[in-house]
Amino acid sequence: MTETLIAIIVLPFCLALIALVVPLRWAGAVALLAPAGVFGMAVRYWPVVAAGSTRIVPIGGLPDLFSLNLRVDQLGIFFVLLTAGIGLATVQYARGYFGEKSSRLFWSALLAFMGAMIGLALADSLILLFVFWEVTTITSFLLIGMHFDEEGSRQGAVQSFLVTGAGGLALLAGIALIGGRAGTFDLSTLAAQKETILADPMHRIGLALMLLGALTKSAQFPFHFWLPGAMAAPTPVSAFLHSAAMVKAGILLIGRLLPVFGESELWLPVLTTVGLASYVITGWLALRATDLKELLAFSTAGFLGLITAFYGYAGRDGSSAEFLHILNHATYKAALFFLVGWLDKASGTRDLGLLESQRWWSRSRPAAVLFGIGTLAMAGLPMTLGFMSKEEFYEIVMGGKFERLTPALVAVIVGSSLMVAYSLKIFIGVFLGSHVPSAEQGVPPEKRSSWLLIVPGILLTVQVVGGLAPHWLLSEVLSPGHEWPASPAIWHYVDALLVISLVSYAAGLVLFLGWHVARQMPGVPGPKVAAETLSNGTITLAEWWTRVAQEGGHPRYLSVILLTFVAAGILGLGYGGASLADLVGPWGPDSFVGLIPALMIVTAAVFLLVLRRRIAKLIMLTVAGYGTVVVYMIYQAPDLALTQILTEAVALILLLLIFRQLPDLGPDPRSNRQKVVHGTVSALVGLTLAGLTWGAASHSPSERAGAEHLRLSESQKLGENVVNVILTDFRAVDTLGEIVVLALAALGVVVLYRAKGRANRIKERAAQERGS
Amino acid sequence: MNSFIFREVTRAVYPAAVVFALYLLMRGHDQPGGGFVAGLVLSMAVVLEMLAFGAEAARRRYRLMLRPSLVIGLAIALGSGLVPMIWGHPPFTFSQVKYSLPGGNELKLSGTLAFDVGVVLVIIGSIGTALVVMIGSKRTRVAS
Repeated sequence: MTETLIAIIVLPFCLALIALVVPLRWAGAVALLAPAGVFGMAVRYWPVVAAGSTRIVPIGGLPDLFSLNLRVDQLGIFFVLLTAGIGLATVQYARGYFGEKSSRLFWSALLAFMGAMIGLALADSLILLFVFWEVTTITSFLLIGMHFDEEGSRQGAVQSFLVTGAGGLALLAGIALIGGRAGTFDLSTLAAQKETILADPMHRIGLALMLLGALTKSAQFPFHFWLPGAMAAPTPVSAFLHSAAMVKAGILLIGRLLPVFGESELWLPVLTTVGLASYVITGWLALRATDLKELLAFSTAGFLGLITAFYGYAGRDGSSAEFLHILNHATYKAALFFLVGWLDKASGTRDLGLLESQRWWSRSRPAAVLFGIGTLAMAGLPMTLGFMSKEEFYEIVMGGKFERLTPALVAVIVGSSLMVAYSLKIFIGVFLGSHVPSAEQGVPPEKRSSWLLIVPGILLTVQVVGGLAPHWLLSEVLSPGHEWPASPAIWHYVDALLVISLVSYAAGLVLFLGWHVARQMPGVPGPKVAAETLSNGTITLAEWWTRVAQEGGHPRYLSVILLTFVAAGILGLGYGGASLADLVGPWGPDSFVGLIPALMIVTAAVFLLVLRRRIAKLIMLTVAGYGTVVVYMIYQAPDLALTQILTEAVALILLLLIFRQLPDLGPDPRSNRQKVVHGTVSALVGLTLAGLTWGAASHSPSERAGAEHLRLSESQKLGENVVNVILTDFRAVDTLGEIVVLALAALGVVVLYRAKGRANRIKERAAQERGS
Repeated sequence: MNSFIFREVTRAVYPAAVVFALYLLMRGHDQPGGGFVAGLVLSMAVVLEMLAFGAEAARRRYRLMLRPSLVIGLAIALGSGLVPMIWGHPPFTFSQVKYSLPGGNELKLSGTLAFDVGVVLVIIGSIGTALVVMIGSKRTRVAS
């Protein structure tokens, strides 16, 4: 079981690497293997998890810190199957869409994106979940910015990255807060102790931060503005991103948090308000949009709003109709994006204004039929899965007896009628345009791959099957054993739900007709403006901060580091409650011995200031270093003394080798102001260090640091020299890190000297050419 | 530093330094010493040799040794930490075995020794590499 699960996650990433190296015409076929393989491996779990079984599979982690558990449950496997299924459709569609013009980077990024989404679905540990979460952010950045030679593409990628990246940081903070206070990062453990978590008032901040991550990812109001920018991605990517990956990741996270936080007092109001607001606002924006992809993008944010609100209600209702809503949205939205891709190829445009004059009804009946089914599903009309999904949602809003029913009901009806209106707008605009057909601009029919229509056709079959045989799909495949509030049937008697549906259809029709009249109205500044302002503002801020923090001069960096040390030192002394008397300590016989190194160090420091030549200064520095050696010897730390002697010697030689290549120091180039600042910083550092040393040296041995290490080292018979036991046993990973740094520094020296040698050779050659 | 006395002293000191480094390495876990210090002593031996016999000689002698020792050292240090995982221990838990030697002495072999050998190799490799590159480069003055 563990092996299969790991294979499911790893397979897409492995194939992503393979896709980078195989010949380009095979890359698409290689890419097909990933979703097909994942689907094949994951589908066997479905009957088990659909019956309600949940299993936690540990795959490692750091004991006492966090575990890396996977989780096999219905939601996770559902998302894996969805990602793999839509992924399969996307890859096959993209093969037809790009033809010969695809790139290895595209296939590789797409597969990594898919793998990250699958990992996200299977993670039980929030740490693992966060890692995959960020991988989806990065890979989607690559995919959206695929046409990086176009300004719009780059800007869209940067915008979506800024918003979802910031959301990711909020998520990380939330995870740290919740996990840190609960002592575990595993969702299953968190859910088991939810009473304790909810009793802690701090959980609200943690939950709010995590929801911030989820809502930015799902492009919910007020973060919906990044979604149209992301439309710069190639159409197959948009389809995948909107139906199974990226924006669905936010929904998945909300679904994962539901068992833990569903009863929190924040859950219902936040999710329903944000969700229903998104449903209405993005519906309105979709109706205004003229670019078909942009329209569909806003529609995605709207329907995700519906699912978000659903989860808000589900917190108290315990319904599990999530699979219905997600499957419904994934199939119709992917199909519509694929169809828009076909239309874009066929007509050369995605602009509704231009398409209205082309009357595609008479040119491609199959496309018209498919578009028809897709828009019917989007509008939620009967005979489609979309209808079932909408009825189910009305049911939960109406039946749950929640306070503030009226505003929610109004929002639902307005949002639904907007969906009807823009669905009509697409279908009528593209296929029943009123104008004389104009000449085709796009790719001629014989050069368009037939997969561009077959793939959306297959996806829409699911919609129709779900619409005609809802009982079979819902009660036997999706969640067997689940009590569906609205009986899944094509037709039920006239009841409140049907009335709401009929009202929304009528209102949608009126809106559509009214829109034709009213669309000459001046527009308000759209979300695009907001997105641009935000991303430009962020970049300006980043540039300003970089100028401040990274001005490129050592004095400032050093000052920052040293002053941080001073602050930490003073804080440490103050926090420990040490008074000045504590620091000074009694004057004992040791104190006279201590005068010898003190004298050495102070004299060396004075000479260091006075002397002019670099090498002389260097030697004085070494003298001060040997002064420290004497201190170590007084306090009987032979290990430290030995190490310090040797490092001083090696450092002296290395620095001499560097300094002989530098000119002698001229007169001090610093201004008086700089001298005062540097002097003050130095004095502060010196005083802090002196205080800390004095304090440490004059404390009684009973409080000696490292007693625990001594005890452990003895009880476990590790070794008798505790300094080295610390280095190799307790802190072996630290030591490993240090030697890695050392090795990298050595390689850095090699690279720098090579670069200098090359620069010199170029200069010499140029001089020779000038001379000759 | 073309001095006869210095060269002869170096010839005598060099092996002694190597032995001393090994001594420090072996006793490191119980007495003052250890991988880091042993690595530094070895580096000092290399420095001595460079100063006595010139950079070119040292470069010829160590060229093929230093960078591999960097890589091998890292591999040994990391590997010695991962080996305990084979038996299901957390990484970097070193176990040790003790043998009684004739004469009442005891030989203690421990995973930490392997780790320390890795540390020694990395330190001699990196300091040596930096030294060979820097001593070997021609003295070029920065235009002032």
